[in-house]
Amino acid sequence: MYLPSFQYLAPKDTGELAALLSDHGDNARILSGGTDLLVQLKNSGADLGYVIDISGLEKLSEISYDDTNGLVIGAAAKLDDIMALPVVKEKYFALYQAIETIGARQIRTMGSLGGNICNASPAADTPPALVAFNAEVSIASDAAERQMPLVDFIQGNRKTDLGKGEYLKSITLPVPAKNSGSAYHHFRVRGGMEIAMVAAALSIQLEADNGTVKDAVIALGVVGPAPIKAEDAAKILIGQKPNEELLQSVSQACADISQPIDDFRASAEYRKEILRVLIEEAFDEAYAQVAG
Amino acid sequence: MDQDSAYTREQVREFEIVGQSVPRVEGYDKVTGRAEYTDDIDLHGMTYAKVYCSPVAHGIIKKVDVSKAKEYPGVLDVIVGEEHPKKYSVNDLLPTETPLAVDKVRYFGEGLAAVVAISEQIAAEALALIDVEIEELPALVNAHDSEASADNLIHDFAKNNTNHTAEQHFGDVDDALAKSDVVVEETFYTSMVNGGFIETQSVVADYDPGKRKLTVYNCNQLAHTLQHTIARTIDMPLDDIRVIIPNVGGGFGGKTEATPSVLIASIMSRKIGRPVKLTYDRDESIYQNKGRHACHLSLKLGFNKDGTIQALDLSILLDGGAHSGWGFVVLWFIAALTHLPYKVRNIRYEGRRVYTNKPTPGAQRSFGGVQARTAVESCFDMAAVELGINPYELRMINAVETGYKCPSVVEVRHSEFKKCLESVATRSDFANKWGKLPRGKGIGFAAGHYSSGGAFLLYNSSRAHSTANIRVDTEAGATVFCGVTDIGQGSTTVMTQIACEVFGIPMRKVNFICQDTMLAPMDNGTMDSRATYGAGHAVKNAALDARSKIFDVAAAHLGVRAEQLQCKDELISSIYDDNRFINFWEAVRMYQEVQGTVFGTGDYTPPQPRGDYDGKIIGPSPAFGFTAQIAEVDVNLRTGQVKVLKYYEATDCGKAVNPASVEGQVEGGVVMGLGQALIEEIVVDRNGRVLNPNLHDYKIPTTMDVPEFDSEIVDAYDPTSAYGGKEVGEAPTGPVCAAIMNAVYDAVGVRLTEVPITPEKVFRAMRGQHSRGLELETTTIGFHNAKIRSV
Ligand SMILES: Cc1cc2nc3c(=O)[nH]c(=O)nc-3n(C[C@H](O)[C@H](O)[C@H](O)COP(=O)(O)OP(=O)(O)OC[C@H]3O[C@@H](n4cnc5c(N)ncnc54)[C@H](O)[C@@H]3O)c2cc1C
Repeated sequence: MYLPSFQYLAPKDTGELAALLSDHGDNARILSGGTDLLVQLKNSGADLGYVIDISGLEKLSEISYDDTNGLVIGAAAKLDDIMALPVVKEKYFALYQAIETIGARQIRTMGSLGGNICNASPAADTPPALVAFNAEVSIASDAAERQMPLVDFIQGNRKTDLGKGEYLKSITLPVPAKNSGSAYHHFRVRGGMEIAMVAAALSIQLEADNGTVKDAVIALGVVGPAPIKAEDAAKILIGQKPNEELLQSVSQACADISQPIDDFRASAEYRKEILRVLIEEAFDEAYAQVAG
Repeated sequence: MDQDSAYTREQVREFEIVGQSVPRVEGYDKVTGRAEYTDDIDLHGMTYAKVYCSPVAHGIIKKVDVSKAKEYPGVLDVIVGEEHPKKYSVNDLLPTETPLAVDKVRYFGEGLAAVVAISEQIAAEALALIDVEIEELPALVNAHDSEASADNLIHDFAKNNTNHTAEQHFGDVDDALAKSDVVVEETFYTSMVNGGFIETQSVVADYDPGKRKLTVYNCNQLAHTLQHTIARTIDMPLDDIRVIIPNVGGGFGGKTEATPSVLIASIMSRKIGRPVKLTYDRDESIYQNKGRHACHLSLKLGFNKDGTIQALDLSILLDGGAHSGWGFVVLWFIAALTHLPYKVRNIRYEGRRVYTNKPTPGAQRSFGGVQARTAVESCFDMAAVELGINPYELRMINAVETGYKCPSVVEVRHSEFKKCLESVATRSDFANKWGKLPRGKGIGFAAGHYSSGGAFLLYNSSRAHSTANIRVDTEAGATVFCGVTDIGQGSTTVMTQIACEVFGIPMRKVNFICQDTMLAPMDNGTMDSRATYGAGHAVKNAALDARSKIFDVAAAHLGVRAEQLQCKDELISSIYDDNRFINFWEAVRMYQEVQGTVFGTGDYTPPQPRGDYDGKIIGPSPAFGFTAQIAEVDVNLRTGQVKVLKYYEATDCGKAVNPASVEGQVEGGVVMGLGQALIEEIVVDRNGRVLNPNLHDYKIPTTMDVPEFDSEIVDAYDPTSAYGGKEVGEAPTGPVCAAIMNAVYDAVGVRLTEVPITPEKVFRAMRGQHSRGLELETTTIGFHNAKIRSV
């Protein structure tokens, strides 16, 4: 339970960060809020060359919103600062809900969105919500910058698409369509300081006049090594007016593609049941936001 | 000697400081971080030890090669089990433990070797150089399997792995059951939980080679018992050992025994002649456990149509883990606790405790109480339904009152239990809610009690259970020396209040010296909810003794008979004439001029009723505290998740010497019960490996899990107590599981018989499926568990 020894580096700007990563990438870890990293380093026991602290980089902590580009969140932006932005609660409610459930105040003050994503824990709260908004990530290195959908970026348990010398720069959530709503529901057995056992996020867009579903994105959390985008399930909704039966077939479709673990905390079968409940509840909540 | 003029005040029960929610004496230090705990101690020349924990739960030790570790730079010494094979246990009751495993490993995480080095990190690094070979034996992780296993023995001497058996029979149970109008019968299982104290066990052992004396700093509840254990186990004269207990970050019963670390650090310090610190990590703390026993119970209750209870027939199987510890006492305590708080005359008890390859449980808060109450209070609810009598009424019909004598020698000298029952029933509007709430919402009743210290010591001695000495002088004020331990429950504050009340001086004039075997006289320690009652008596008696000397001087000076004096606000005056007064400290000064320092002494031993049956010394107590509780829950009909919305509690703790502390005990005790009821359980796989030895996976409630509380301290005064107070530390934890089980039944009509009540268990029960909790205990859970630790 001791931190291994390492050299601590604090780049002054993203240029220096890219250069350090290009030099030491193989033998370095990025430190943002450290709420995952420090715990992991203490448990790993293995020595490490460098820890590169990005928490002081203002550019990586910026959060902006406009009606063209949508919400752009710097990777090092703190969870609490994101939550505090009125536009997040207004337009990206599922993300707001996901952040609100993370740890406790102390954790959200230290922890960053980029850290939650790059840590790539199957139980992380924000990724399913981000997937539901079709979030894109920007990945940078000293050579280039590239974009990709977040759902492809997180590849599995503790696995991302980050290559050598690369870092996560920002996360972009497109402007939500008119008449849309969203929700993130999760299940946990303790009231605080607790990770989700199953989670579901969804965003929907309704036709303006008659309440039929125009578009829907459903994301499942903690029921696989990475968030699952349930496209077939979402299709069931499109063009339909929701009713109980329809929702049950949607939630069943989600349960069918989920791959929850089976352990002493709960059986896989039970987790699938919970997933169905969460999908249906999240839909009801999101629908009510638009249809009233 | 009772020239206690304040006795008049006591008769009318008007007190100055007793009954006030004065702030904790040590509160400022704890809140600001000034308070020093064992791990904070930094002695000159300090060294640090770490223990090599067994990676298997059951096996024959083939090799423990420490030669490489010994050579690692910075390492001072390494010891292995066979160097110190002497066995110990709490109070020497069937000793089975050794500081480090000898020949055999019996539980996952048991120590095999210990390294002492100039830093903790170096000691930890050296552990990696120890070469261990163990021939694994099948682990016994289920009490039933263990009992049925004749040839796989955890301890050679224990046939069928049986540690203890107990039987008691009063009246004629078979006859009474046959004649009962209604008989309810059910089996229950209560899980093994850990105390979850925030401060893990820590020790600093400091051997002085010049004086050949050992000082041990350890967060323990029983300084004197610990001193004995160290002396016997490492073969040192008792009076060469001084035990000092720094601040304790929670004990809950788990710190009433010596951890192996205390003995290891003592042995090592004596070997190297330097102070040794050994602090457990959370996983080690959970392996050492001494939490609550898992228990299988089968209970039958017989009632007459009018609701009077006729018979109680209980048989239990305790999962004892690898060692004996407090097990024998827990076994008998369950027998004793089923006798109350109802007037049942025909009682049969049959209990067994068996060894398993699990972390050893011990005496956790409301020990024996949670198990007994879970079964009895659930069956009361079942009977209420059968009889068509409201559960509150059914309890009222059978509730014990002041003066009740059990068929055993247990006697209830004071009880306001009925007031408790009435209080929660009224406040919650129970009669209008029970059976009448919409599906998914439920209300559940349960009640209980606990003793305020046992009547007997658990070893053969007629010594007083508590002694206090007091010195009063103008140099230091009134200084009380008493062996009781404040583990966070507030005994230091309460004892100070008691001394202040006798003397009539303010809190800041009293110093309370405790938790040090050299300074404070022998005390039975902090366990069994005995401090306020037992040590409180001793402090009061000592203060009266000292005060009588001061009053004698004042009496002569004022020309008033001493028994006509009182002291208030540091003024000694005649109870008949306010104009005849003298300052308290002036009287002390006058005494000092002639006779020197004022000394007083007092002690206390409870009445010891003679019984003539097995287990007779466990159960009798000078006083019992009572509790009645009502839980209101919401059960999610789709997920099975139980949310406790509101919790009503009423306590009879006699006079609340410090009401704020009582509230803290009640709410803390209930929350501890809620943890066991809903989320807590130490889980082991079929190889005995602990799957959740950290507070991420072993879940204790957070503030977010605490329901709204509505608690009341009922008006009560136990005249047998120093200032009317009785226990409150343990009773509130006992009935919580049952209250919630009963509320769940009221909400969804299914009776859960096993804690923790996980959402999945309720979900399955609502669908008429079997819970898989118990069967899981013996199956492989797969590799997922290995990586459930970090998010
Ligand atoms: C008590 C506690 C409770 C918690 N509860 C929850 C919870 O309820 N839900 C939840 O989802 N999580 C929870 N967490 C986990 C953690 O707090 C979150 O995942 C948090 O968002 C991590 O952010 P961070 O800035 O602290 O990441 P760090 O620890 O700094 O980094 C995490 C990982 O991401 C990498 N990384 C960080 N930033 C970048 C970047 N820009 N580019 C490339 N790699 C990067 C790091 O190298 C590291 O591997 C909890 C943690 C604790 C300690």
